[in-house]
Order: sequence, then C-alpha cells, then structure tokens
Amino acid sequence: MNIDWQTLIAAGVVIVTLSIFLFKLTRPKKNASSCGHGCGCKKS
Amino acid sequence: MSSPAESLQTIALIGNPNSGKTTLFNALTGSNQKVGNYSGVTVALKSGETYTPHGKKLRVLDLPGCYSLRASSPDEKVAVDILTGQVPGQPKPDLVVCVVDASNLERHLHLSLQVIELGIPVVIALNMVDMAEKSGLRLDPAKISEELGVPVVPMQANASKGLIELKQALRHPFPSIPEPHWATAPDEVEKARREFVMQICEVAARRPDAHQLTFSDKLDNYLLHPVYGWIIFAVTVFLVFWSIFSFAAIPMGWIESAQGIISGWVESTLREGDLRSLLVDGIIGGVGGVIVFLPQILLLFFFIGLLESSGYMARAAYLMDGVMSKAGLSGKAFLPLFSSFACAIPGVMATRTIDSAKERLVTIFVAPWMSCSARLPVYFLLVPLLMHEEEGNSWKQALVLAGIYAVGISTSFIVARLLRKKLGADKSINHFLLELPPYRAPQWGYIFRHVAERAWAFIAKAGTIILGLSILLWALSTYPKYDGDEADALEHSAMGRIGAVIEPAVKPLGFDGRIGTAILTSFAAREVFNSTLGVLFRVDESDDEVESRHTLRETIAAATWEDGKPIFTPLSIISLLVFYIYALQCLPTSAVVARESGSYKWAVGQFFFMSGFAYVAALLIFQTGKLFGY
Repeated sequence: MNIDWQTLIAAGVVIVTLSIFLFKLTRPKKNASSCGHGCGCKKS
Repeated sequence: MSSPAESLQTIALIGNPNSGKTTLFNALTGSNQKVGNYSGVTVALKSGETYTPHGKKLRVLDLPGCYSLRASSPDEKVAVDILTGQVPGQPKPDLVVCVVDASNLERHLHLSLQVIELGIPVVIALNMVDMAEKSGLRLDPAKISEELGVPVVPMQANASKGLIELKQALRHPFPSIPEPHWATAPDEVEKARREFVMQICEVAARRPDAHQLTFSDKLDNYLLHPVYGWIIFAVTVFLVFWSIFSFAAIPMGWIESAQGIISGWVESTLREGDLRSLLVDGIIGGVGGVIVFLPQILLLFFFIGLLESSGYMARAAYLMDGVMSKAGLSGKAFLPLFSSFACAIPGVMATRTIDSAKERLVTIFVAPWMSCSARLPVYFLLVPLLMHEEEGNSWKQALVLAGIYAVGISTSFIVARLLRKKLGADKSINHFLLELPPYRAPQWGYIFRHVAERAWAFIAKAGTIILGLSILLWALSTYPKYDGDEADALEHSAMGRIGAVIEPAVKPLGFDGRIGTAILTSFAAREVFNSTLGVLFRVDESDDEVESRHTLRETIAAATWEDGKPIFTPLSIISLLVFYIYALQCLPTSAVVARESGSYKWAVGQFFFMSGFAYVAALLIFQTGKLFGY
C-alpha cells in the first residue's frame, strides 16, 4: 500500500497533539497548598 | 536548614486602598504588577525582592489595601493574617512600610497607628507629596516622624522620587518599635487614635485657611453631576465601543494580509494533500481566525487601563452605587463586574474587596454575564452579519455591540436581585466606602505594559490551546476519510457525525449541526467558535488573501438548509448572540469560582444554570420570532 508522505505527517501531528491534550487532562494536579485558603498568594 | 528564601528578611507594604502601594512595590522590586487609580487593585498577596543601598536582599510583600485591621472583608483579612504571622508558610514581616497618601493623612494615619500598636518596626512612606503640595497642604514630615516615633519618608512613588531615601530607611538595624503612647485607655482606643491623628495633622499637615477647590473638585462638579455625570458616562462607554470597532480595522487588515501571504506561500510550496490541508485549513485558518481579533481586544484593555489610571473608574463606581443597590449590590460590586468585561477571572478575584459574604457570592455568580473579551471574536463575526454590513466604522455596529453588553448587564442585575433576596439580609450592616482619587495624567508606561502582557497572554493562548484545538478540529472534520466531494467527505467525517447527532437539540434554536458542533467546541474556549466554523464551512484561506473573516462571513451567510432556506437569518443570528451572551463557556472561570466561593457546588450550579439559561433564552427568542413570522 502506497501512503502519501503528507498523510503520514498530518496524522503524526494529530496524534502528538491528541497525546499532549490527554496527558494534560490526566496528569495529577499539583497541590495548591498556598492558594485558595484566603491568602490569595501564588505557589512559588 | 533554612532555604535562602526563608532566611530573607521580609518587608510588608500596607496602606489604605489607592495609596499607591502597588506603584511603590513595582518601583522597589522592578516588578510590573497591575496598578490603577482606584481602590481594590490588589486583592491578593504579591511578593518580590529588593536591595538596600548596601546590597542586602529583602523580600517585599504587597498587601491588599485596607482601612483598618478589623478584617471585615476577605482582602483585609489577608493583610491582617500576614501582619500577625497567621498564614502558614509566610513568615511574620520583619518591618512594615505604611504607605500613606499625603493628601489624606486624617484617614490614612489611622491604619498606621494600628500597625505600630502591633509591635512591628514601621517606616512611613508619605506618598504623593506632589499632589498634596499642589492642593496647598504644608507638610512637615520631620514633625510627623517625631510625633509617631518612626521614620517618615516623603516620596512620589510613580516618579521613583524618594525611593533611595526609603531604601536607606530599610537598612539594618531596623527602626526601633515605638511605644503606642496614644493607646492609654484600652476601652477608648479608637477615640484616642482619632484624637492623636487630628493632633498630628494640626501641627504637621496644615491646610490653607480658605478651602480651595482643586482641579479634581471642579471636574467632579460635572462628572458626578446627577444629569451631566450620567450623560458623560454613557458617552464614554459608547466611545470606547465605537473606537474598538473603528481603530482596530487597520491592524486587523495587516494581520489578515499576513495570514493570506502565509497561506499562499504554503499552497505554492506544497502540492495538494493532507499536510497542506492541515496547515492551511486547520492551523492558519484556525489560529488566524482568532489572532485577527487581537487589535480589538488590546484596544479594550487600553481603554480600561486609561479609565482606571486617570481616576475616572472610581467616579463610575460612585455613579453606579445607586444602580447597583437596585440589584441588591453596592458600588463595591461595580469594579469586579467592570473588570469582568476584560476577563471574568480577575473580576471574580476582585470580589474579595466586598465586605458582605452574601453580596460577594452574588457578584461572583453574575460576573461571567459581563461580556468578556473572549466573546468579542464571536460578536465581531456575527454583528456585521446581522447588519448586512462590512466590519468596522459603523455607529450601528457599535450600538448593537453596546446593546449586547446591556442585555448581559440587565439580566445579571435581575438575577442578582432575585438571588440576593433568596440569600437573605446580612447579619451586620456593611457600608460602601470608596476613595475618590484626584484625577491624574494616565501612567502610560503601566498601561502599555499591561496591554503588552494581555497581548502576550492572548498570543500564548492562540499558540497553545487554540492551535491544539484547531489541529484536533481539522482531524475530526477530515477523518475517517471518505471518497467523494468535499461536502460528502465532511458529512461522513467524525465532526459531521457529531453535528448530525446534536442537530435535533440545537435545531429549535435555529442552528444546524455545524453551528451546534462549533458551540460544543467553544465550551473549552469561546474564541474557538470562529475557527470551528471556518473548518466546518471549509473556508479556504487562499481564496481571499486579505479578509479571511470576510470570507467566513460570506460563506456562512450563503449556507442553507436542505430546503434551500438560509441558516443564518437575522433571527438565528440573534438567537446565537443571545446564547453567547449567557452561556458560561470558560473552564478556568469555573475553577476560579470554585476556589473563591469555597464550593465546587457553587461553580457547578453556576455552570449548569448559565448554560441552561442560555439554551432557554435562545430557544424563546427563536421560537417567538418564528411565531411572529421572522
């Protein structure tokens, strides 16, 4: 089967993008210890 | 072992709202925190570093403005907790710099006395001495220092004048802790403080015998006038919207030209194929469709900065107090709600200045109904379509845009009133207290830096989330592959199928499956609506190198239902605009609401209420319009 190189690269870009989105969605959230408890400070 | 950060000595900046703490913080640390000529700019703790003239590094904290240490509002509580060392992970400050507006010593020194009573070394930064002297006040900083027993540094923080002297005062050893000799009777300490402040002002801040009207007083005769004040307010708001539409046209043309040139170059370089389609239709079309609105969004931020910096924003809050009371809110809710026109997130954060917990919750609840800048791309696409006009230079378009904002504002007021009634009255009475700062020449440096920050944030969002979503949207509208013409391929793609599934739900609102899909994708970020439409309606960038949005508008205007009737009728466009006014399509806002309200239920309830409200409102508009034959 002869697959066009443009199809391969486009599919690769889509897979990488989807992986980044899935990784960002599923990674454990950082513990915002100093935020949200009234002090309003950023976690440095 | 303590970390280097922990071993740093900490200096806290405290003062009444609008005394210039953030300006001083920026001058000391070289930071670029937002400043404004109105109260309540700082609602969270900010931290930076500075050096004494001998090179010793110090940590500087910018505390939210407060009138006293009674901690009656959340932002005041932050300040008090920091000063008393009650915040875990935050050391108690080693020295406090009380920033005092030299023109308002009678009110501002009251807080300084309370800080001195805490037993922490204090330095007083007597800020804005230039304004005080202009108003005829004769200040004697040495006398104030002598009376209070702490160093007093006259300064003008916005011009960095007195900064070196202040840094000298921060050298080691820190000033000794004075004895609060005024607080002799614990039962009458409030009265004693008042009397002592009056005593200081009598000897160290002498006013001219006859009261002279300042320039600000004279201007306020008109700007706060019960009739002229409102006319000026309405004209100002209209001019802001008109300018956004008109002045942005030129840079938008440049962006569109650049977009066309890039698309053309890609098409001439690559032969037809998936990669070319991804680059031109997906990435350039998707990201370009959003980035083109950058000039309009930046103009909005520029005007907000201009109004804040000049001092007019505080007058607008004063004027709005009466209107706000009709919605069960006070003038304090005006600033958070106005900030929400730029973005609901800082708006929700700014509700910390509101004393009443119930009023704060209600303000948080309705803040996302102030049309934020993310909705502008959708409005800018649809309003000219509704008016059958080209974009820009039209007072009619500005009027429609102002009307869209008015719909959001009026609905939020009605809901706020109902919700306020439901939550019941406060246990204690809260008063609306607002500084009316003198009018000042805008601080252009800060305004432009703030606008540049917003530009970068917008570009970063377009380059990450919107780029990613554009790629995924392209994939959804391309795969699975189908041998046929373009329309057939789209119909058989994943996106086409999603559209077919949700079409029955959105058809009663006047939308087809493609619009439904675009709405669905814009729940991640509203701006994505345009790029999704671009992909779904197969708008080819190369067909029109200059005006891609014009092409998108032309294409969707020509789109028809199966029976040949147009999809985008005036009624369906109004229905779509109404949906976008009301729907809460911003996940970061929901996250901030959950944090600020302290309840996920509140955020989830708000999301479903607003989205449901948007659906029902659009449904009612479309169906009623149809009944009347539109």
